[in-house]
Amino acid sequence: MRTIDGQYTENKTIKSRFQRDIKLLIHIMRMILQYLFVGTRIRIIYKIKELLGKKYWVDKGRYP
Amino acid sequence: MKPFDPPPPIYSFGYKKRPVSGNQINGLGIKERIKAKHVFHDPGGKNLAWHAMDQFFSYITSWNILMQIIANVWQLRRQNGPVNKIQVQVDDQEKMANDIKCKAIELGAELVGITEISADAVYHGHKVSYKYAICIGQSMDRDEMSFVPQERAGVEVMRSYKRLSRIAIELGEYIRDMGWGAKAYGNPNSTDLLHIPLAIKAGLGQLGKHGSLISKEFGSNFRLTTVATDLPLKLDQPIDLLVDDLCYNCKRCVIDCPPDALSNQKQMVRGENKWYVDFDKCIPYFVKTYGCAICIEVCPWSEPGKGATIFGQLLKKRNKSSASE
Repeated sequence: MRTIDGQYTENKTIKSRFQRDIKLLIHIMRMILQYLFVGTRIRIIYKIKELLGKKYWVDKGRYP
Repeated sequence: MKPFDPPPPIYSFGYKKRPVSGNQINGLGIKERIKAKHVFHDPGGKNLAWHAMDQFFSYITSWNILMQIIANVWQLRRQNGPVNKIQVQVDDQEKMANDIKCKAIELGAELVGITEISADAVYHGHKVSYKYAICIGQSMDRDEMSFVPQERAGVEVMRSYKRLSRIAIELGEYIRDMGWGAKAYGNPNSTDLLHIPLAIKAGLGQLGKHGSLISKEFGSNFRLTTVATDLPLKLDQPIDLLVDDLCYNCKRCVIDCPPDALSNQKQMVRGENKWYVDFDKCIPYFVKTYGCAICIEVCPWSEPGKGATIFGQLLKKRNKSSASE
């Protein structure tokens, strides 16, 4: 599952806390958009392949 | 409890080019004591061997699960923070440990234990600069979890992690207010620590045949979080719930595991003979079924109120057999 790292947890000053929140909001927005756009495409292709009895390769595009 | 209509372990997804076995990465068969490596859940976007499967898992999960994760990720921005410059001096570590446990319980924790962070509880390539771990457990809603391996149970797992993160964050803030460093390691943001070995050392329970922790109070129907801190605290000791006495004879989780990922024998993993879940068999089913969790819910210890009875019966049996020897 997607995780976040330490860059979002440094909050020494009010300014750095604000910057952290903005960065994290962008990260979250990106997560939602990826789920909605990339994810929907993947879910549709996966379902079609499942119905056709074919396999969806999770590493598609990663192998040489 | 029986799993709720589990689908067969037949997959219409997979790797075209199979990555290195997760069991190999986990150190199955390795006799030397080595550090654990991340295999699946991806810390900070690093390219792990099983990253593609992890990404696929994120994309085919449900919207309801995603919303729980996002709410948790948002609150975990407070996992660390500024430390009060005025430090409370600790003369009595036992009293301080009791105060911290009371505070954790007040915040909603149901199990609390304290241990030292040993090197083997930190992932390979990661660093934890704190000395102590406050291990916190909280039970999951058993009615919701009775829907394993369906989406409803997956939502409850993530909801549970969200509740635990809030407890850890608030406890961490409480400790930092006392002038001591503290960091809340709530899931899904705990990229440095292995929660289960720490919780075992902190006396929360013992490792069961299904590779999860078993506590007397909730069996395996609970989740963990950890607060790492420098606040000097009296350590708890591991407990013997006689889990092995039952696990060696009980086959419930092995029978009910659809992908046959559990074994009736302990195995050598990173220099320790222990119960182990076959990663390569478990993960595809885990991905297919919103995180599965069948094994932890069918475990007899997880039946509400059963833990103490089981422990009593096992103790009686062991005393009887040691008396006859």
